[in-house]
Amino acid sequence: MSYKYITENNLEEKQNYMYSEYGGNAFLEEYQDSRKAAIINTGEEDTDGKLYDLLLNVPSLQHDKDLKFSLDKLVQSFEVRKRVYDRTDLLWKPVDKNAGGYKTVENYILFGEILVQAYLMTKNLKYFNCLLKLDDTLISMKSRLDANQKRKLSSILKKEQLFYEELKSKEVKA
Amino acid sequence: MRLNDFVLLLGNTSRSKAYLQCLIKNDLLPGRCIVFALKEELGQIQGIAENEAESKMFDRNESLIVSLEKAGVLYEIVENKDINSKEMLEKLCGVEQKYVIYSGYGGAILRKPLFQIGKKFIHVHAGILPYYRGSTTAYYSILNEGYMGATAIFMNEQIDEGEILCSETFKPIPDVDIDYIFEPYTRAMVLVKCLKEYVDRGYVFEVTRQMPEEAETYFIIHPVLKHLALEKVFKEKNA
Repeated sequence: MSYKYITENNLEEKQNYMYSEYGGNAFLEEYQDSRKAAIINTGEEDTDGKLYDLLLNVPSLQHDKDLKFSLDKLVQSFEVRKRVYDRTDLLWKPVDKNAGGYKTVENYILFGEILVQAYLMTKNLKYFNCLLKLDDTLISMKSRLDANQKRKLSSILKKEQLFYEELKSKEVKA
Repeated sequence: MRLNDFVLLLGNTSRSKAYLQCLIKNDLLPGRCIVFALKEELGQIQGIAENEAESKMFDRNESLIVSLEKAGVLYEIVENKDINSKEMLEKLCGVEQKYVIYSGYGGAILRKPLFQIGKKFIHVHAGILPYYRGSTTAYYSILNEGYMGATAIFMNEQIDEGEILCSETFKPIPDVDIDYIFEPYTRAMVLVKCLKEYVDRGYVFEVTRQMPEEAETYFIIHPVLKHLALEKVFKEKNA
């Protein structure tokens, strides 16, 4: 029995998953093989792949020290350089700063989405602070954003405004 | 009281003036002082006190040299603003004092050779450590807790990671400028506390290691967050 839930195009050949038959370990192995075959091994230095991974893992931020370490290094890199480079090492430092490669709009959008999630999860002001600076940068690049990126930026900015209002009205007693 | 084990190392800044004037006021005089600054900059006006509360803290317009001479503290001027210069290294190697109270220029990071000359550098960080490492932490602390703090540490090669000597929290005062008056003043008061404890313990320091898992590092605060922090301080005044 093979893993039969992937067709030429599932959008047209819909899978309803009803009364699926038992296929034992062989089925589970085939399922795993189907995923492994589809995963693109992005290089360790490809910032976009690392940003996607980070975005998906942000919900574990409060319990995963390695994840927090990585995110904090990314924040530090942006705070210091005010740029997100296309190719970065494990500490998010540009592999070759002189080679350019820091104008990929999608990386800035992804980083914004990560910061929104990180602040939502932790209420740590370092993430909101970085988001404000990143959004200044994204708005300055607005003419270079396509329609989809503009929609994503709008969502990020709406969240930023929400965070701002929350913080403004927060009562703090010493 | 003369603390002969201490040399005060001062750049020409508001913080240095706060340190010096508060130490003198509390009769805690260092064995000697090294001012590292350009002579022509030492007498420059750095701003006037805006109100009585500010003027009670320290006088930004009194030059370091005037304060030192009034208090009778032995001093010398090194016309080199680079703490890591060979000249400064040689100067510090040549002093007999064990402890160096450091108040340098913003952004300067002490390099390895300075930590290899057998001196202990005391720095007062503007934030409660290890919770508020990094820059402009006063504002983050106001937003989170409603107060700000300062911590005296023995410096090491890692920024803000040295052993803790003492710390204190302070409620910001409306109408008192934080950047140039209140923050330097709070650091000076923690330095005073630190030296008083040193004397009271029989001329020894008691240190505490920082717990890295409690540490958080902040970066220069965005003007919007700084405004929100200041709004909270002003709100206290109007409450």
